[in-house]
Amino acid sequence: MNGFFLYFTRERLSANARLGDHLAQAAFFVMLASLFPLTVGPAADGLRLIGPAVIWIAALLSALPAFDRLFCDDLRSGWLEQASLSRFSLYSYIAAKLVCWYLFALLPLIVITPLLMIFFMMPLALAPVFVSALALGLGVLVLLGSIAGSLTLGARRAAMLVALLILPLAIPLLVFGVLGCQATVSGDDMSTHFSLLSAFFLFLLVISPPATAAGLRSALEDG
Amino acid sequence: MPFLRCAKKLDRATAPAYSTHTMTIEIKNLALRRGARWLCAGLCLSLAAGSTTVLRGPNGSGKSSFLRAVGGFLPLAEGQILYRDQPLVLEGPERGLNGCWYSHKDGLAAELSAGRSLQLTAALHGRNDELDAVLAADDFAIASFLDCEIRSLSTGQRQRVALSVFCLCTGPDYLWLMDEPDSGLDRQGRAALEALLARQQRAGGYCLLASHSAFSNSFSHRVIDSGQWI
Repeated sequence: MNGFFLYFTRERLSANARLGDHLAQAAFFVMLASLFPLTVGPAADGLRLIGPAVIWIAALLSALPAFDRLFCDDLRSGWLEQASLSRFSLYSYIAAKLVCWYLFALLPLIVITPLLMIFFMMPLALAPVFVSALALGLGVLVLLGSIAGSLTLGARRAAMLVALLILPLAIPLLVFGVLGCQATVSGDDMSTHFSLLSAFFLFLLVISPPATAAGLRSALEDG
Repeated sequence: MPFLRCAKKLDRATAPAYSTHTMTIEIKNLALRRGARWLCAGLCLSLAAGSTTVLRGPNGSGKSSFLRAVGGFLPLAEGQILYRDQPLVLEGPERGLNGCWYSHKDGLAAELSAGRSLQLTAALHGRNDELDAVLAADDFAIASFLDCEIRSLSTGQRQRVALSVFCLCTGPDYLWLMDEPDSGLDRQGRAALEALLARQQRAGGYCLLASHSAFSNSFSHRVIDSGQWI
């Protein structure tokens, strides 16, 4: 059996058993974003202006705090030791972990975004662009979160540390994502912003796995 | 002489030359530390195929750290661990030996059933085909709770499930690293563990384990006192 497939099976089964946690995250996302239309007021112009930024920030804030749990259970249960002593490379473990995390924790946020666009009076015709931009953005986030999650393994107050580590690094992600979405709403050209976002994603795709592996190995020293 | 302490300040050039038997894991002049604390220095040890080595010593004498170092988790402060004249690698496609790790953190998934969890760990070692035979033999008497979730099992039951993986992984290609495998077992479990260790020995595999209790003479093993490392 292929290593990625094996690790993915285990992650999928465990994540299925904890589906509630992940859906709670999506519910938090919806509630956080819906606070803005409720407090700013129903003026369509204002909502449309802040909409992209609010959706992106809410997605970031609801996804962030969970990243300290990314590898935490595996370290505590000893699966990390088993995985790093196996015939498969640690990279297949990391890849399966991230893909599964993306599907279970982040995909619900992406799927629910068109609903939030209605809250912000944005035309649903723009939903495909919004959804794919956010899908790319959260792909970036999961790669950042993987580095931060592995570095803070075993630390006390890991959730706060993870947030402090990721937020500054996520600024380019937010800037390009939000600018691109705003350009879409106002009918301007958004391809520059999304190209830069893709470049950021590809850059992280290269550096995140080795950085994560190094973080995991250093966590394994202490056991 | 399988185990001897070298002088503490030996460098690699002056370290005594050992006959590097091809089928032996040679630990040469090993020093380990945790932070500022040295756990051992100048430790030389060879693990022959088909031998069982038991580490015994007081808490904090470095048994677990030594196992973690051999497993490749803890970096060596000094010295080398060699297998076939190459640094021992237990991980990934280029490994020299298959490492099997046991500690109280057993690697079982709390949310899954014992059977499923066992299946996944067996697949990790590429031994899924033999799983049915092991379940049929049921050395550790786990059949009755295979369908239960891991988190609902007692410590001893989890331990039996985790040890069942080792039934799949006997032979000269396997290095067992076990940290207190007998701590939570009852008398039958202990007997099964001893039978398992004897089997690994007969199959010509490697076994290094840390334990506080004495094993019976049902299999030959040498005991190393980690209390005298420093």
